[in-house]
Amino acid sequence: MELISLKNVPTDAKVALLKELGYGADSVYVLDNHGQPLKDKYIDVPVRLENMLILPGSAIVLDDNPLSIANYLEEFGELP
Amino acid sequence: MTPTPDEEAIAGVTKGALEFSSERIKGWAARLANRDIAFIEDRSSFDVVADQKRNPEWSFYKEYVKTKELRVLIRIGLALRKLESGHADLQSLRKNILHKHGKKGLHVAQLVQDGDLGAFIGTLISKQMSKADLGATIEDLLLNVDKYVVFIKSDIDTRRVIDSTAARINANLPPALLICGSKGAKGAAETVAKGVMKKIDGYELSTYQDKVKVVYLIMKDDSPDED
Repeated sequence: MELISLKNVPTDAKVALLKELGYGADSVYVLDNHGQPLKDKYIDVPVRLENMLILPGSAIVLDDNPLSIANYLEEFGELP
Repeated sequence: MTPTPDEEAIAGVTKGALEFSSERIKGWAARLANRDIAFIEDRSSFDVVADQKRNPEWSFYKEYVKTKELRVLIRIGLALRKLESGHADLQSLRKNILHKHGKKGLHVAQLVQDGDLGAFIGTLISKQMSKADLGATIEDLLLNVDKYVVFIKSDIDTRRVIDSTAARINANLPPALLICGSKGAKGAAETVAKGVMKKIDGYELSTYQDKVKVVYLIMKDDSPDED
């Protein structure tokens, strides 16, 4: 599996990717399909564009922090 | 108005970049669906958790601990151990654990981070327990971490802690209880462990210690009575 660092991806490309995946974005936050700030499913914090993870499994968008990563790996299995 | 050659050139470059991006982004989305790609921020902070899959200690816990929440907290404890003290992520990680899993969750992660759980398991293994019993004892301890693990601070009232800990053991008869103390609290931990042992029956005491910490393991004595 290829891991791409979003640090090297310009904001407009991040936003375009999110839109392709069915999400949205304002200037700070990732938005859900109702236009509301998307909350990390594991720690309930709004996911910021500058600190997000997009992981396989119905394109899960999470806040980038160890607890969310550990929960994701427990739920969806290890990344190859 | 007719665009100047420069404007045409810029428009051409922009359009080319957009087309490239759009094509590439569609490709990324397709690869995500195939579990062939993932997007992260910082490789090192991702790896501190993901790389635990290669840690033999994690492989052991994964085999014996079945409760998902505990497995997450164990993995986080191992990650906490890897993060250098003073690392910016450390404080926010503790805050997130507290928010999501409460003090109990923080204590489970701390037990793993400090190596106290490893010391406890080492003692269990030396007792040649069955795999099922080993797993059940570990889970029981972690699920009841607030009842069966006592973290000693240097300024505690040792007599009060001895009484409350002994009362807890006598009321619940847990298979094991840990008393952990580090740095300046090592002496207080010893006082508590020895004081508790005087007030309970059917348990044995063993000790694990290194330069920084001491762990007293109070475990049910399952050896047959001597005639």
